[in-house]
Amino acid sequence: MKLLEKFREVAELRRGLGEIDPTSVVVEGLNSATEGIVNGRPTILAGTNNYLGLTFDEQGIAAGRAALSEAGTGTTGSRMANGTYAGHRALEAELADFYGYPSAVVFSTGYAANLGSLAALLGPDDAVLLDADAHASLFDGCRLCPAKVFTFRHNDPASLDRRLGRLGEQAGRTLVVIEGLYGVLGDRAPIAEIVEIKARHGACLFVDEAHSFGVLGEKGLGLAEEAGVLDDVDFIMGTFSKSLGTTGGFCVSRHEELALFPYRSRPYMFTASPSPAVVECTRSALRAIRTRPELRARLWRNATRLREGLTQLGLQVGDTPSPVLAIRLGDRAGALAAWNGMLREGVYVNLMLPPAAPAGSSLLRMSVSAAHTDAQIDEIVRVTRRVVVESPELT
Amino acid sequence: MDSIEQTLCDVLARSVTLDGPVDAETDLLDGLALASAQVMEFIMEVEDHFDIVIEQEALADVRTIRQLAVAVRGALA
Repeated sequence: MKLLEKFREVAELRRGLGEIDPTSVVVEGLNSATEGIVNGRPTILAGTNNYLGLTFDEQGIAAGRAALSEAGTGTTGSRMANGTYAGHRALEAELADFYGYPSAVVFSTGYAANLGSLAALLGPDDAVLLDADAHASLFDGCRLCPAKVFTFRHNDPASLDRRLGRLGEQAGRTLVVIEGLYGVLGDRAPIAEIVEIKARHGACLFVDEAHSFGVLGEKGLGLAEEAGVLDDVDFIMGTFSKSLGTTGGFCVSRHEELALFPYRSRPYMFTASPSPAVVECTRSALRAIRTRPELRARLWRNATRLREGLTQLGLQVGDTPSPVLAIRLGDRAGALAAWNGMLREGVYVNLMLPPAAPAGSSLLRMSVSAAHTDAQIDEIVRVTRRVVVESPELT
Repeated sequence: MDSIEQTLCDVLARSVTLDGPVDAETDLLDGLALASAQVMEFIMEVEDHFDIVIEQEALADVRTIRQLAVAVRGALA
């Protein structure tokens, strides 16, 4: 059938991935937030985004169990119909209070939060300027909108400045879209410079803090807090599926119009709302972020330990400390072999191949958790040495 | 090739290392085996050279220098 011919190319690509397909890993069981069973053996999970290790937090599990008993397994409806429970509203109020903003909107996934927020914000007379390395959900969100879409060079304020200048009067109806911490290489946006530029051109700024919420800033609000520009950012998006350890996403803003987003957002309307258990687990995790700063301290201690270990191996892992570390490898085949080798040695990391990886590179991505033990961090370094460093053909 | 197409070829030669000759009909992805990230960098160079911004929508089906020249003319108009 001609309709299905497109899958031949996909099948060929998949065959090229070899015996162990990195896109089809099955975690057969979980021993903890940082150890799973993969291919029948205990495996350190070093590519999960479980930054604060809250997926097995006792208080979170208790909150989820109680919600299951009291409110059932799912809402079976949209937020705009029967799917808004008191817990959804409470979570939104708690997120708004955490930021000191008038309101927050909760979405069913982080992906939907980006699609839904951009769809609400951007109309046919508007433009959007995206960082070229922005997450796929941000590009997809722009595709949903009738706005004109442009890109600027990754983390390059001068490139943004030039393009806003070229847009002329349109700059005043332009949304600049960046991430706080980029999830593949772990690099931060130069947000203070970007804030100055967008203000000078009269544009608005949307920051995706998916990888930085709970991770950066004294309170854990993200890069905008760390850089002291919370009052200058227009919209902040975050996800529940990383530091909060559940699923879902949110958008917060200092602008009161955010409360009207749901009425212009199909990704908000036309999907079921997060289940009550997810909502209560998320509220519990949010309380943990607000009241247990030691989790963040532990995350950064572990990030520093892993970074030092990899650096001592002679590997380049980015310019600034980050809970996300990436090792660039020579080519696709080398990266695949290294990823396979690490998994066989009991360490799961992420394999990033072009076009998913930036700058056309193939790389191994590691993410650190507050729940990693020193022994696990040291084992990740040992396996990296054995598989990557002692195989010079890979680098 | 017209002057815009020739300029695009010059910018391309400056932006990426090319293995072979390029003309207006060379497929940037299949013919030159450029990664999508390299194409994106090339587009940024083109925007800076002509002092323009090109909409993503106008780039969606661009495979050749000739097709890119159409997008550049649109942005210059």
